[in-house]
Amino acid sequence: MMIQRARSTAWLASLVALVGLLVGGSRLSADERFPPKVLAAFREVVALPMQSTVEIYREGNSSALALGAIVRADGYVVTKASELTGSLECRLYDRRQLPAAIVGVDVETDLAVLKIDAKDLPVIAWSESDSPPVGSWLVTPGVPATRRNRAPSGDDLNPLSVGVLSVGPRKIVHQPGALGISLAMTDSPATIEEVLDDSAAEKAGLKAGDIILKVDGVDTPDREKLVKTIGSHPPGDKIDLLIRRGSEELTLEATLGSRAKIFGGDDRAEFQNTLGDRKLSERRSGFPLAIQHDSVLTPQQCGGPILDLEGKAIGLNIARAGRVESFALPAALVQETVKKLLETHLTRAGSDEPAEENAPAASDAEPAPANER
Amino acid sequence: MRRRPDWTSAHPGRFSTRPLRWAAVALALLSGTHWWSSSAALAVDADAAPAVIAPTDAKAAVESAVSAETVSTMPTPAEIAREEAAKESLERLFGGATPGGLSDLRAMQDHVRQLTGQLVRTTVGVTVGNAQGSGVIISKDGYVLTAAHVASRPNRDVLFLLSDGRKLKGKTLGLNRSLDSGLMKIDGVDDLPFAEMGKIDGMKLGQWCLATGHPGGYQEDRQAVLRLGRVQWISNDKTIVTDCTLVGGDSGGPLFDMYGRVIGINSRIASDIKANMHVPVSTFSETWDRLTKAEAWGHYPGDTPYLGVKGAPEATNAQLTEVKPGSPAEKAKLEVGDIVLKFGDKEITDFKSLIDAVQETQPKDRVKITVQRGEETKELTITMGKID
Repeated sequence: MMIQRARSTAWLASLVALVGLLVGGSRLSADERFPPKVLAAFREVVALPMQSTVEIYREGNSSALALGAIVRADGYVVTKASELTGSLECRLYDRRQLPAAIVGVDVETDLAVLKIDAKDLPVIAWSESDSPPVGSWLVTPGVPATRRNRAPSGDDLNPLSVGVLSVGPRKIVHQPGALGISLAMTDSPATIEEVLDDSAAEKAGLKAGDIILKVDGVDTPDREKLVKTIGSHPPGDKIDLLIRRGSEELTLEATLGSRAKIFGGDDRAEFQNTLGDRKLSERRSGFPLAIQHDSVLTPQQCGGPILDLEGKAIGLNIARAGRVESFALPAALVQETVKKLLETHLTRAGSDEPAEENAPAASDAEPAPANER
Repeated sequence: MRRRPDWTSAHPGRFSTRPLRWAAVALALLSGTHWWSSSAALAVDADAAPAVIAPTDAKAAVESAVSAETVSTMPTPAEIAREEAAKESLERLFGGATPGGLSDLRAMQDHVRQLTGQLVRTTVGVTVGNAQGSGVIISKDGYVLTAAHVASRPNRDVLFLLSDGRKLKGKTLGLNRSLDSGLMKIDGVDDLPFAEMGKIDGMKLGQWCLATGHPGGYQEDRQAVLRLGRVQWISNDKTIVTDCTLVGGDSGGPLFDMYGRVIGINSRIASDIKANMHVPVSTFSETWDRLTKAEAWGHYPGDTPYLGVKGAPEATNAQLTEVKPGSPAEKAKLEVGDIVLKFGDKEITDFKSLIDAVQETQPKDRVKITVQRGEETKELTITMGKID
């Protein structure tokens, strides 16, 4: 009789049963948790807001980068800035797919305003009340799939995802960014002792022995100042480094990584939050105010409106942040930021190009959050 | 019971923010086992230890839950009829019916909004050593249900982080590793908000439920985090599987039915977003005496201790008939024919008593074994292995 063998086998048997069940589950619905028949109960909620939701594509690509919300009838759309790359197009509810230009980016909220050449568009209706209480239903509309020769119908009209409000508005402090270097123990100057494998520093071309003089034009005369300056940027930020290597000075651009990822310690958290090969938004922290909800979204399903049961947008989905959490910026913050970006844009457009307010001045501009600091 | 301040009230930074320490939910990820049990409901008496009482009539509970929302003016017969219909429709919905449309969703939302304050108030963050997890208070004198892997061992110091900002001390009590249930007790209190323990009988697939906890560990600027979902699977008397999403730090937190009664304790996850596992609450009532006596028993799945010997179960001593090659027993130089006299501090009288002694160890434990080999008595030290 082998000690404990029988019990171990029982565990194994139940494990197999579990795997069998889960693999058999349906992944067809947009929402990974709720089946179409549950989502169908929310059709009335999304019927109108869907028409004010857009999908944003990189030109020539068939999968969307993000969602967006129409904020002005003359072709202005708000979305999540850091997901945008390359020449952009917006796909509308009415099946049109139009070129879009970035006309403003706000780094703090990670919002971008786009301009498309269209008019008389249905504008998203924002909720005028404060954040709904914890436990409220929240509904994320998508844009119905384009099908040849027929209007969207049936499950096309379901929301993308639904969930409840998990935590009311709070500030989401950003995770510190990191280069992935270790510094020499001398205080000054800030000298690189080692460049970690596969780190932001390595990708930027930094080498052991390099002295970092400036970060984005700010002097970094010693260790402390350098560590502080780098840590004030979130992961994903691009920074310019002025370095001295031997007798020459060089400028290198680095895209910061996550401190947790580089130095370990949060491996288990990272593992669990991305379990099942699920992707999280690259920029998922560092928001002045955000509502947390439990809707299961992909990073590409962020950037669009999130609704209460009245069909009013209570905010804009801004990040998929973990297995249990999605973040949305509250409606008031989104409206305020959009207003600010539009004022800046229109003033500039007014002085530079008085004839045409909505000219796609930078038609293939990349969003450049780091450079706007 | 004295009312605690509303949970929404801000509590200025009493705790320093610290790097997240994750309770070991990972063990679950590796093994992904599951359990489920059904038994009578357990209710908690305010002062005494919880006692098993007759299950609450579901309908009565619905009535009390719903009537709490209604205004106490004299209702007309039409209003009464409408109210009855609303109650029945809520009950049907919570039992797993698909919401038919906006009016069903609104009714659910009104109900959940009203419930959440209580759910959040009774959910606590717990810190044991450098592990962080969650728990739920089930009596005003501070019994807290949690997961075994959060408690880790009996009689450890625990710091409880309450939703009103209080930081209270206490101890871990008993734990059953094989089901991942654990009990803790907050010291020196008798005024805590607490959740009622629910019943497992009659639970249905598709039934709606709510989970709370502190994902990623307690954060002072964030209340316990609410999730809504449905029961996906009830397995084999051992596990409730729901699509209330969980992650490290949620371990030990409660799963509630739609009337705010604890029906499970958050335990572990698998990669499917709908595979979030909870310990059924019934096991706590079934093992309450052992838990309050701070006993620890069972083994985590994948963590069954292994010695690697065989003996004759009917023999009057623990003489070894086989030593498995490569096993911990062989490495410790145990030999066929050895009679085990002592295992750790346990006297061994037959092979059965050796099995029992082995079961009380954990893999990697170092144990002293006394054996009789021919005329000689030898003492050996073994490092316990585990069954793969």
